[in-house]
Amino acid sequence: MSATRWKDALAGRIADDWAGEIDHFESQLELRRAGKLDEKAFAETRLRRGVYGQRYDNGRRHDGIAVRSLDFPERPTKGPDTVWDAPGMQRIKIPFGGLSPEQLETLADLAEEYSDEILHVTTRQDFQLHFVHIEDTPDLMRRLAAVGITTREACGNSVRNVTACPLAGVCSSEAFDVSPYAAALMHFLLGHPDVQDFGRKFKPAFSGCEDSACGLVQMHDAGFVARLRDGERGFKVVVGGGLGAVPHQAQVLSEFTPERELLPQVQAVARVFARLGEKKNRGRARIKFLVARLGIEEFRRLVAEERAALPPDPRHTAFLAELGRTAPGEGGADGATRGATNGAAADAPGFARWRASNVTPQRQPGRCAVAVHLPLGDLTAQQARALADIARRYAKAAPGDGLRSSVEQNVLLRFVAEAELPALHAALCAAGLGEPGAAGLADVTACPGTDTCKLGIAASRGLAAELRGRLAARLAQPANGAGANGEAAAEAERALSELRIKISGCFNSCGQHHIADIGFYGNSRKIEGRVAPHFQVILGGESRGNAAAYGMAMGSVPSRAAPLVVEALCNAWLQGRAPQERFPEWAQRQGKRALRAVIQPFMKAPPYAEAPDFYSDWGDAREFSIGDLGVGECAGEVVSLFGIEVMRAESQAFDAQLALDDGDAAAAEAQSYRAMLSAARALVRMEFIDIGEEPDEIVREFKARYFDTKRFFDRFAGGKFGQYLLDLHADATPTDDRQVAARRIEEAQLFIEAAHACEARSSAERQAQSAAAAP
Amino acid sequence: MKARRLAVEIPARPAAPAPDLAPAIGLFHRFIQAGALPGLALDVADYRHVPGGPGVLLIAHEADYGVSDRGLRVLRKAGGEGLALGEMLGEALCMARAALRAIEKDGGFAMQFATADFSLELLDRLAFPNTAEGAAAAEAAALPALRGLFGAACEMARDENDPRAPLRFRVQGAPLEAAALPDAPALSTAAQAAPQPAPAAQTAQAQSPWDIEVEALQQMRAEGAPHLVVDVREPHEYEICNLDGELLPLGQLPDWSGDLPRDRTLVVHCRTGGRSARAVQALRAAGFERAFNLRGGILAWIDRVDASLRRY
Ligand code: HEM
Ligand code: SF4
Repeated sequence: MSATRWKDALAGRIADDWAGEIDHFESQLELRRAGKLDEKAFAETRLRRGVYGQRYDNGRRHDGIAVRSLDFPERPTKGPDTVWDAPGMQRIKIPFGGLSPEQLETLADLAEEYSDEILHVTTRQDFQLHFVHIEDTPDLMRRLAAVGITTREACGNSVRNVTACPLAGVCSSEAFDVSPYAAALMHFLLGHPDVQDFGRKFKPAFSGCEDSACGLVQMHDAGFVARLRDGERGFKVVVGGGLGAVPHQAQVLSEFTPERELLPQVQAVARVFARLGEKKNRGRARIKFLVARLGIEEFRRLVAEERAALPPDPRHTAFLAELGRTAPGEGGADGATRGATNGAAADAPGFARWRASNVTPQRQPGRCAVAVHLPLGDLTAQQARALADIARRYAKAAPGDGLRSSVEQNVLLRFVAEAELPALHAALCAAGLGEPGAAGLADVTACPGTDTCKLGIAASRGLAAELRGRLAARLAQPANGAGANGEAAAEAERALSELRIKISGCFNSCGQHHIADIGFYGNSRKIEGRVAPHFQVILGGESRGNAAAYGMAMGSVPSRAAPLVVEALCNAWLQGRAPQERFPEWAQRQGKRALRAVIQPFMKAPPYAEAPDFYSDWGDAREFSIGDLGVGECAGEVVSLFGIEVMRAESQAFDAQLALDDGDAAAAEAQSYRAMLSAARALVRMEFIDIGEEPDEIVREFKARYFDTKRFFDRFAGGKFGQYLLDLHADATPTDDRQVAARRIEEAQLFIEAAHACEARSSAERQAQSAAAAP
Repeated sequence: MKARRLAVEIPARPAAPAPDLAPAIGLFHRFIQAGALPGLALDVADYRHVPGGPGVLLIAHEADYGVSDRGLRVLRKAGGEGLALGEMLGEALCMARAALRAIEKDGGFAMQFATADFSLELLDRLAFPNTAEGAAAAEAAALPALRGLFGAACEMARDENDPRAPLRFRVQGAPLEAAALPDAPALSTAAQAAPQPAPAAQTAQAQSPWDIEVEALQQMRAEGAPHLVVDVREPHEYEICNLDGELLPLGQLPDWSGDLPRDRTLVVHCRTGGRSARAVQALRAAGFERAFNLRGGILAWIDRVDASLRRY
């Protein structure tokens, strides 16, 4: 009789400690189901194992007409306000994106048996499965563990996936291959006692070189850039970067940390963060806030002190002995000379275009890295198996070296022999994976957004799918113009095809909209009493130079108008750019006023009666409602007092940006402050029409009415946004620091968002009250 | 033998060009709103961007209903743990048939289906691996159940698919409409919205002493008979669907009823007839002698006269 439980079937194939952890998790799960474990404790346990909640798991959903309660079977919750049986998301941590064909096949099995047949690659090289039932998670973890994958610390206040440039090991501009260091760091920190007491998550990233986009170390909590000094390997270490609501650029902790000092230094950073980092206020708990508070010099001093006090640990350097000094895959070059093309020809339709956009030559002569373009990061189980076969056949290398997931939400095949590219392309096409344009214009990146994320406000994936369709069609048209203009036109088309669009469903920036040429994040606006999905437009971010510059917020446009905005921006850039000028450079040169003029015509949503589709989101037939809070809007409300007042705040925030452009940090900060005051005043006026213009009075009334009562609080961010105003009001010393001023502008924008959300909640409450009072 | 999950797929009739899947998004949202399918419906997932992918899915607690270029796929999942394979298969087929009927009734999604045979996938590699033994076990468990549903001519043939893929069969001689199945499986969670009101007008109860049927209103409209439709629902309901009536929410009726014509036939309606029955009572008491209640409300109108309006 064969085994009837995966636990028995896989006995002996899972490392003992991993098996024990999963058994423990399963018993926690059973305890919670029996009501014998606190819901918060269980939620923390499951999150640490990557078992996330998913949208509607509070048991309520707006179906386009009304909020319905979802009558799941009666069970204990799996976390506060989280229904046991509601489907959830499983995050699967793939260190530096390195994946073997067997692992990919296992992921395919799991997608079929526990999810919806789809494997999703995230913007941090992880995989995710959606619609997973909590009771399936222990077996899911066992099957992963049997192929060497753990979901431990895939989430929660811990060290998240260690990411790295997907070209690590094959890139011609890298100092050396960072993958083994990423692997060593991940193994060292996994479950390490010094990383268990963080107030918030901690995301590390490696990059092989200073300039390319791939590692994005500037936007991580800790970033490591490979450097050689007199032939010695080491890293430039940066800390305190991060996207999220208020983006920070990382600061340099050390210009050169020798390889043997890498792990101890990170351990020291972890200890300082665990000791001094904020624990209570989640909104200020990332390491970036600690670095900002202490200043980088003081932080550096504390880390050095901590390093000196660390007990010696052989694990700090043990991995170095195992490092082969020859880069992986360089040994066997069998495929490089094999000319077998399976009859596939280099002039097959689409091959040249695919090769131009998806193939990068490797450092290793005759080898290439091939990006497999996954639309929105999704592939089916069947495609995953095909990809595993293709990797075995064409991407021969040491395990974990042939396949990498990338931050572009694609998969990279490495060590492909150049001669085999036509055959590889044919095999990919047969699996529906032969699309060109990886990491190009039509390869729009999006976070999960309203599809599955509980925080999503607008449909980031819906918009991304819509843009993909439109942009792919545009790019497929041959460049027009001939003769003398032909070359320029071709260059323009090429520049266009390299433009990056990234979309987040809310301000949390999981879609990394700050570092896109054109970025969007979801918000909502009320027009004549109805809520319509909108996106804030962010222009001119840089993913080059390891995410060296963040984009500027230009204003919100209705979701339905976003594709037109993209088109208008592309056209304005193509027409107005200097030869070879890239989008961020062009955007900087234009300045905010001129850019705003481009999007201005699209900013206003037509009233519902004229265009009801503006009031539903892309790929969603339901009428829009914010946050599924059940704001059933009534028609007939004229532009409210609030609407008029808050417009003033928005234009002040915009003026703040203009001031920053002119290099006047103090004025930018002052305008941001004024913008927050105006938004606060708009809220207060709804209840206290005679409020004056005095900042003290506005802040006092705002605090008493909206902050202390928590009415201004965001469901997830809590009082974070309100605190921005209180802090700034308390400390009126003007700044001359551009970085500080830029942050204030972000804060003002978020404060205004929060004011909009607060107003929407209040008016929903008023409506509910008047409905209850009606006969 | 039990399986954790299984899926049945009813093939689409070949059509050129292949039907657009976009309308399936609206279709599935309508199904959720109306509680039209068995199971606790949760959400719609759109995977149209994935080549050869699952298309558009309606995710429910007990099953995923999906339409793709291949056809309709029903994946039976949570709540089926206690069932023998044959029973679980019966439930999945029952759900598939309910979905086919609902799609046809809705009329907004053009795909046609060939219901003479279907494919069966066992999504449980532990109990039913894609091996000869797994196939034999599955056949032993499923075939008697299938013959019970479709008769002795029903056959199952194992697909020669990738051994890493799930175990899959073609089931032939299985006309779904003729299957000996209930209309809906007995699930522990109910569909969300109220069940569709029975169209049998004559047997239904009166809601007020002054009811008129939707067919009567239809006739008045067709003949141009003078009348005024008064809608006593709330404005947001009016936005969803309406009969072009005068919007006069029940709560505001006392304030505004003075403006209504006394000499004209008033046909008063709401969503299902409850509020309008009260309104008619009040209007009659205030001397409107020609006020009538549209029995069953706008939902009855949608069910029996004009299905193009949006149900809610
Ligand atoms: C349940 C869904 C999710 C929630 C509640 C969530 C929450 C958040 C929050 C609150 C932040 C801001 C963190 C901060 O700086 O304070 C954030 C950032 C981020 N999240 Fe998520 N997230 C979710 C899903 C995802 C997914 C699916 C991905 C990947 C595809 C992702 C990737 C990121 C990235 C890359 C950032 C920017 C991190 C940085 O600062 O470097 N998140 N998320
Ligand atoms: S950006 Fe917002 S909507 Fe998107 S995944 Fe992150 S938290 Fe969710």
